[in-house]
Amino acid sequence: MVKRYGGFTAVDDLSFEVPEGGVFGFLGANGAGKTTSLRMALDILRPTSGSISVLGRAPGRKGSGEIGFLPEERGLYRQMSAVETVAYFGQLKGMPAAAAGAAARLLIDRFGLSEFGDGKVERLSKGMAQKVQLAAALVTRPRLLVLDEPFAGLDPVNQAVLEELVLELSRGGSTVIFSTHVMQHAERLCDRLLLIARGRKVFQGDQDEARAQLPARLVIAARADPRGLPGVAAAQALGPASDGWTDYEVALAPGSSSAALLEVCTAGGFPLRRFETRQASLHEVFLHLVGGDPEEKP
Amino acid sequence: MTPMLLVARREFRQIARTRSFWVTLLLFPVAIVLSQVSVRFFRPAEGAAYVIVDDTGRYAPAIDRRLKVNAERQTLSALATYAERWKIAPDQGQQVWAGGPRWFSDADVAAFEAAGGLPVAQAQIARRKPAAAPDFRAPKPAYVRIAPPAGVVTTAGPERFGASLAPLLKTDVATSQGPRPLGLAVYIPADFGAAPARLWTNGRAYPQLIEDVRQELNQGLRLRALQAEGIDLAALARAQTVSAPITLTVPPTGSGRERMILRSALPLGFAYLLLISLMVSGAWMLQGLIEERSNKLLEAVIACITPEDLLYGKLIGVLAIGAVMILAWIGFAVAAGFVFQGAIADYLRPALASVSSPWVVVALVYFFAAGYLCISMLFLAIGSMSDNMRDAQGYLSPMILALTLPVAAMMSAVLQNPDGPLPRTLSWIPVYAPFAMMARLGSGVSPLEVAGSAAVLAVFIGLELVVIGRLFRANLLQAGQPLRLKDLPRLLARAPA
Repeated sequence: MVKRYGGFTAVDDLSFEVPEGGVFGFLGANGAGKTTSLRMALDILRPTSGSISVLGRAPGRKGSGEIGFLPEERGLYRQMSAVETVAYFGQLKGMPAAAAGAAARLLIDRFGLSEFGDGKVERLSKGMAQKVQLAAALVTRPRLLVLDEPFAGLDPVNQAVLEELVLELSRGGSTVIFSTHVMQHAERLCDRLLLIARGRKVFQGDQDEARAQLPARLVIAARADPRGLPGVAAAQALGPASDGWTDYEVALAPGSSSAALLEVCTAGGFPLRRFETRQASLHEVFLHLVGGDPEEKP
Repeated sequence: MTPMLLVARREFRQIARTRSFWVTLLLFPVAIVLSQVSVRFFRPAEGAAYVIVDDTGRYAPAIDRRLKVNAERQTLSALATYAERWKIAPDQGQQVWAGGPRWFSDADVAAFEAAGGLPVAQAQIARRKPAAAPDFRAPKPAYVRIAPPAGVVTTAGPERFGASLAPLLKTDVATSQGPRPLGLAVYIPADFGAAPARLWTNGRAYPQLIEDVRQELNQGLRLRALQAEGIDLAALARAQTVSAPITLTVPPTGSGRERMILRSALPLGFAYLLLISLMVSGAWMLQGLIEERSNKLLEAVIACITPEDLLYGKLIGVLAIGAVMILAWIGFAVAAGFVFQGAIADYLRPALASVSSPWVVVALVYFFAAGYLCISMLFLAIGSMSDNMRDAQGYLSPMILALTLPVAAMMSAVLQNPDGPLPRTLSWIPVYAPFAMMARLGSGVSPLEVAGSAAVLAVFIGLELVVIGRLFRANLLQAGQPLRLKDLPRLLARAPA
């Protein structure tokens, strides 16, 4: 799909598929085109060109009860109560009034807001209001839940609560599409990832595949310089020797692996006190693929 | 319930929960009650008392006679109005009071007196009046003469008289009709003519009383002058009883120009109510829309329903609020008519006659609903182009001025001539047509003109729905940067993606 605003291309020839079940991370820096893409999937925006299929049909309000959406910019009707708000969104998505009311009450109780359920929303704290918004997205028990930057503005405690909720929904069989520019959240939650930059896809796959985009980092503690070992492209001492042992960061030669190097050391009697491989973080992968900090403002 | 109606219900509830809605709703009936209460309790005392010191002994009786005739004329007029209102005809011969209200000459008053005056008339009325008619209550005489109160010096000239009377002019005095303000004191010196008569008032205006006193004093002086010229006073007195045979008929209540005004009253009232309720409910809707924008609510809502559902739902909600306000106000007005009866009921009957025709009722309902839609969409357009109320004020103030000033001018023009150029012109301009047509419907507008104006309005509303719909949709998608007036031509040409 492509979305242009005049001469500006917000989403540029982006194609991807979200498998059913699990948490799908939609990653990118601010202004990368995440929200625009999600809006197109929800028929809030129409693509300039291309086609979209959500749950087997073109985006639209038909069957909107199967999709829950928590937008990045969130708000509530301040004069309505929490239960009324959740029930209202349930009814907008086609639930009968009684069922929507009952489901709303259940969700509000489950989110620990029972005593605030009938009070005006304007009296709720930000964390509470966010739970009400999430309840409004969940009231129809959607098959697909779209969360656009759900952790924005939440304190660490409420972030942890929300993370647990997302995982719980995923375990319950819902598919969660989750947009964020905070890689730590994606690392903890997502099964599969789509990374976009300037409206274009730069990566799609699971976390291991993402980390494989960067070579693993190998640190060893040895008495001798490892540069002569087979499979070692380079090695750099990380500090002075201590009791005759020195820490080295080792760069492997193309085609070699840390396992092969360990085997060479063991077989050749090369003394080792530490042999530690560390995979690249998503943050590092992001920097590598996009060339900027995901949390920087565009 | 469809999403559109869900939105409408939410809009309705949101507005109906505000304090300002209830204040506005109750303002009208409270105003009616207060006006009636103030009329009843704060009405200035009827008429006044007067005192005369006449050292000549000639003028006071003439003044008393004049005021008595005037009081009788007032009674006769009220009697004639009452008889016409309840369709009572005298059962014995021709009575002066029969034949409806008109100007009654001194001769009519004399004939009324000769026929037995009020007691005889009341007896006749009592026999013929319908059961529903209240008893006739004769108006109290406007002015009552009292003797100089104790302490007032009447024998030491006008200065002492005036000085001793001054404190009494600030208070009520006892009269045969109960306490009344002392409105006028007259001192006629013995050498009146050479010396002036002196009049003191309490500062309030009693022009008729002063005029009657002045006329009688003039007449007395002139008679004396004519007598001095050797003219026979008896002949003069006879000549003065001759009056021109003029019959002056005034339209009965609810006829003639008054009838036209009365017939226009209800439709004009509807037009005013439309204007008032539109201004307040439009402002509420605008505020709600801006709140949705600033609360970042819209994206979540339009993920569930289409922007069109949201737009039409808002319009239906505000239309329902307007209808509730108007129905409540009409209900209060009818209840007030029953409670306060009297003048309100007398005026309500001919006013209701203007809406007795089914097609006028249909036209009123159409123009009311169409007017609501037409103007409400302008408020929605403003809401779509504004991020906050301050932004909105920039559009709102000019729009309200452009709307209300011509409408106010048109409404007063309708009372002069419903077919005048201003009301007729505005009947063809869509944003003014609802007010102009509603205001004119009572006095009779050709069906062709009504149909034409209604058609133009319908086309305009259709156009508005397209443009405002596009503006609304474009605005919802325009995160953080609302569309401006300059974007309108582009929206007219092409729907937003």
